[in-house]
This record gives sequence, structure tokens and C-alpha cells, in this order.
Amino acid sequence: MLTLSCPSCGANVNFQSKSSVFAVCSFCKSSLVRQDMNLDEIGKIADLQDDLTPFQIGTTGMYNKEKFEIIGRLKVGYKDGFWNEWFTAFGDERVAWLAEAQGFLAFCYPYEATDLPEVKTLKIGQAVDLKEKGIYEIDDIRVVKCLFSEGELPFDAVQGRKSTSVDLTGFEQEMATIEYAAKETRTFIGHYLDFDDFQFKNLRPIDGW
Amino acid sequence: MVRFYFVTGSLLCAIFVYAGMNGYKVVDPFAVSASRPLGPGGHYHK
Amino acid sequence: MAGNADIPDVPNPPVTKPRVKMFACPNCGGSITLRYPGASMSVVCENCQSIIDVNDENYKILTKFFKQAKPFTPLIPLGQRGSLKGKTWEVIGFMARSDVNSAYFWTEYLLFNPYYGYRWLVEDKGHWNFITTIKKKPESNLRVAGIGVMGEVLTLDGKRYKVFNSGRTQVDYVIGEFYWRVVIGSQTNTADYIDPPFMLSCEKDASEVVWSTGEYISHKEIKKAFKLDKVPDPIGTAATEPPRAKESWGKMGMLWALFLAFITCAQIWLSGTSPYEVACDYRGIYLQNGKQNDQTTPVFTLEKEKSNVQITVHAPVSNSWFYISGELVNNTTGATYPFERTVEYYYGTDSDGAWTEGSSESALTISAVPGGKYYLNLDTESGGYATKYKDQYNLKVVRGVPLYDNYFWFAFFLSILPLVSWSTMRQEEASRWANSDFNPYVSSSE
Repeated sequence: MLTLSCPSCGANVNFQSKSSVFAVCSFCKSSLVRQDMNLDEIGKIADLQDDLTPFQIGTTGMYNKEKFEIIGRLKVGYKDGFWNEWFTAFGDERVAWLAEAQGFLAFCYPYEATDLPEVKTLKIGQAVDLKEKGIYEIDDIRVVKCLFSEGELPFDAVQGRKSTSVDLTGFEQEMATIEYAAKETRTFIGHYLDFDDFQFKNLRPIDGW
Repeated sequence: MVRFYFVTGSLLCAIFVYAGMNGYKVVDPFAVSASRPLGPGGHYHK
Repeated sequence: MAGNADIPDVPNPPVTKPRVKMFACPNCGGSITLRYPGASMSVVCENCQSIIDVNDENYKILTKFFKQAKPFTPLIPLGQRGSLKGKTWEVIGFMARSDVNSAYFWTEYLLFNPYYGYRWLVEDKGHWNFITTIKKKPESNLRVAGIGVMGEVLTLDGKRYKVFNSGRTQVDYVIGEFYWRVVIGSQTNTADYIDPPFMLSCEKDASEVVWSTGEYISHKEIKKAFKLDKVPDPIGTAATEPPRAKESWGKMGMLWALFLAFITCAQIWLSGTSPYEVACDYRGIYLQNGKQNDQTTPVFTLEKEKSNVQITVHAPVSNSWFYISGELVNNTTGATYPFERTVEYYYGTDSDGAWTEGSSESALTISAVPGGKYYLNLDTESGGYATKYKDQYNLKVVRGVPLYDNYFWFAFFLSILPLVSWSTMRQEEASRWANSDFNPYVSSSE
């Protein structure tokens, strides 16, 4: 783990994953960009007014009998709603994402996709060839905006960051997400799981429950 | 009903084997019944 | 809800009330309480029934003042929590929906648990189904564009769902809060598929297709779970009503086959092992057109402790009759088995040609005769002969003959309950499918 200090308030800022290049100071909410051992402040993250989720930074869970920990979050909104993408790290170099939307949980890991179709040409129902991972069908195409970010993340998740999020389904519980952002296109593959499958620990307390 | 059928059915099977081995006719409405000659066509004939 | 076993691992479970959000209705100014800010997308004003978009900074009105002449009253009040399927659920929304064509309506309760997400309780004529939205898609046996097509069977997780209903559904009435922007009058194409007590439903609109699975849940369970004073008794047979008669018939049918196989095997074995011993073969004299009393056979032995006895009488009758009355007497105990037999045989010719009636032989079986020494006392009588000569009849006593009467009777007894069960199952299925657009039990003439 790498510990740097916040250029704004001096508090410790931890980087558990080497792939994280962005962090939000847990004290002063400054958004920080990391370049090697340097942290630059690029702005502040405004607090979320209404935020109802069972997860938080530090929540742990199990996936394939391996323990992971939530180290960052990106909350995105689109015209009909919002969802959370929780950045998780296993003890080693591996990272994955836990997507949370209306009670549905998908666990997915990065996949180096090649020859993806152009974002402008995509249509719902279209088949996308993810090579050895199989053929996936597009369910949803949404233009999303970053509403909130916290912890550490592998890209600059400043508020207002725009991207196009494409949800796809394969066989059984399999799913894939392709995120077309301004600078990069990233693909994730995973599947839907039940809440209890993860054996979560250190969840966020929810008032009244 | 299934349990009832299981019990009664098993019982019937057991009775069936017992009756078969001992030469019982369990249902025998015409058991050694009296019969009188009737004659051709069924009219009484004696 | 502290100390509730179904709440997952949370450090220091909070016992505080939910963090609600209150704001003024942009339509009527009344106070609106949002139970789950951060999860709900729209909420209905309790005063004026306007639907408010809570994701919008200015609380945009989605549907204004739709006030129904006769509003629906939810059977489970909003805010009520209950334990279903091992989890605690809170009722946060209520909708009445109807079929656009038939105006047939039902009600739906939106359940929420911040850890486990959303579920639905759908109530129709007092029958309840617990619905879970799924991300999986079922496999269809048909390659068709639409949903809810005749003969359609969907497969999901090893279950086969038959198409039950399809139609166009609209939202008529809402109260509470929802995780999407609910709009009065919004329509979707829906189709239901059943594998009782489970169901699979599809809702399709212009932008998405949503699949969900459901399971029948008894009204008593609902009453208990939500601590309700009363819930209406269900009317008729629901599509997903647990197929009790069908399950029972499945087991009965198995037992039936088993029992029939057993008695068939037993019958073959009994027939194969029956001794068929001729214990006495007696030839007696009788007087044609006369009586002959008090003939006695020599003593003979019936082997085995207990078995049946067949007595066969043969007399050379020809357009005449022979009657024998006798008793089988145990030489030791004196126990008697009285019997009577007649043999008669007639023939002739009439306008239809030659005819015959009767036979020169007749047999009877006496069941369960104990073994021992026996003899027969016999009286004979005959008539119809043209002469008065003496003639000879034959009487045979056979020990242990194979009999089939028991087999057929027992096969019949063993079939009564399975047939009752089968017909109950047919009735149950017929009444279940009576409400279907794809009723396989309806005859072609109707």
C-alpha cells in the first residue's frame, strides 16, 4: 500500500491498488490525481445529499472464495436514474468492480477487448463479439455523468465526467459493460450475483434497518 | 390421500398374496350358491 | 429491526428511524414524506395524488391530479414491514393495474429492503404471488418476435413455463414511492408463463424488456408476515396455485403402477405354483328323467393346510338337464360344504339357423378348504330325456386351481383412489386454465 499526503490538507491518502491514479481525500474531499509519488489537487467533490446504499469504502466480500475489499466508488447518473460502481481490490494486483443498481449486484473484472464497434453505431439488441468471451447482446445504452466519487479509482473520476455506458448480456448470469469515455474505452465482464453470495462484511449501517 | 393409498394399497397387496396362497376368494358373491334347473329359454322346468 | 437475523453484517446495527426526507408538494403544497431518498425516483403526494419526480431538483410533477373517483385501498398499508422468504420487506409502493382490453384489474405492492433491493407482491382475487425481477433471460421453444404466443414454452433454471396470458397492461392508480418514474396510464405488453407454483413474466415497452419470476404465496402467509387483521379469502383457482392434486396424482400414479405390478407378479407366481391335484375322479350312475339319492364317494385326501377346491361336473346331456346337489364332508370334523350344480345343453334350428345353449360341464370353486380326509354325498336329478336309461356322470375334485377372480377384484380396488386422484387433478388443472388465453382444456366446439 502506498500512502501519500493530501496536498490540500495534509491528511494521509492511501492507495491500495497500483492501478489507482485518482483519489478523493477522505477529510477535505479534494479530488487528487496521482502521478507516481506526486498528488495534484484538481478540485473538490461535493457531498451527496441522498445516498442510500449498503456499501462503503472498507466493505469486504467474497468472490470465487477470494476476499476483496471496496476501495473506491463512482456514482453515475443518467436521465432515468443512477447506479454505483464500487472499485474493489483483492489482496494482490487484481482489481474488479461491483456494480450496484436497484438492488442488482454484478461483479465484473476488466477485459482487454479489441475491435469494438464505434459508440455511435450501437443499437439495443445488437450483438457484440467479445472474442473468446463470446457474443453478447446490447441491453441498454446510457449517457452517464459522474455524480460522486470517493476513495481511490483507476481514472479521473471528477464530478460531471461524461461517458456512454453500454450494458450487455451473455448466457446465464453473464454480463458485460463497455464504457466509452472521452479518453478511453474500457470493457468489463462478469455476472449477476445475489447479495448473500458475497458474504459481505463491514456494510454501511442504514438508518431504520 | 397418498399416505392413505400407500397404506391401504400395501394392505391390499398383502391380503392378495395371503388369499392367493390359501385359496381364498376374497370377493365371491356366487359362492356355492344354490342353482335350480331352468330349462331352455329360462322358464322354470321341473 | 435490531437483532433481526436476516439483516447482513452491519457494525452496530442502527435502531434509529429511517432517514426520511420531507418536502412540499409542488402541486398542492401539502407535505410529502419520502421514505427512501437516494433510492426512490418518484413519489405520490398523499393529498393530491400528483406524482413527483424526486430526482429532479425542482420536484417536477410527472402526473398531475389524476384523482380517481374510487381510489383503491391497499390491503397491506404502506410502510408496513413483514418477513417473507427469510427477509424483512417494507411496503413502499402500491399500484393498481389493468388489462387494457378487458379492464380486468389487479394490485401490486412494491417491497423494499435496502440490502436486498426490490420485490413485488401481486394480489389478484385474493391470490398472492411474490415476484422477483431477474436479469437472466429464458429460452423460448419458438423463434418469434412477440411475447405470449400460443404454444410457447419457456425454459429457465430447469423449469418449463407454459404461456398463460398475454396482453397490454396499464397503470391505473399509484400511491407510495417507486424506483422509476411511474406514470399513470403508461402501458406495457405483458405475458405470463406458469409452472405452478412458479411463474415467469415478461414486460416489454419501447425501451426495455423486463423478466421476472414469481411464486405463489398463500394469503395466510401474507396475513401472518405483515400482521394484518384480515386478508380476503382467495376466489377461484389462481394460475400459480400450488398444484396439490397434480403432485398427489403424480405420487398416486407411481404407487398405482407399483401395486398393479406387484399383484401381477404375485398372480403369475401363484398361478405357476398352484398344485392342481386331482383328489377325486368319481364316476356315478344316474337315472334319466329320474332321481337318485344318497350316493357317497370314497374318502379322498385334500393336501395342503388350506387351499381352494374345484368341483367339475360332467354329464352327457343333450337337449336335457342334469342336476346334482351334494356336500363336501370332512371325514374327521364333519364340516360340510353344500353345493348345487346343473348342467344343461340344448340345441336346435330356427329361422336364424342352428343354435345351441348351455354346456355338458359345470364347475364351481370352494374357497379356502382346510386339508384333510373328505368324501362327497351326492343326490342327482335329471330331466328332458326321452328315455329312462341309466347313464354315467363324472365328478372331479381338484385341489389348488389357479384363480383369477382375486386378481381382477384387487386391480379394481387398487384403482379406485388413483382414479379419484386423477379426476381431481384434471378438475384442478381445468379450473386453473379456465382464466387463461391459452386454455388447453377448452373443447373445440366451445
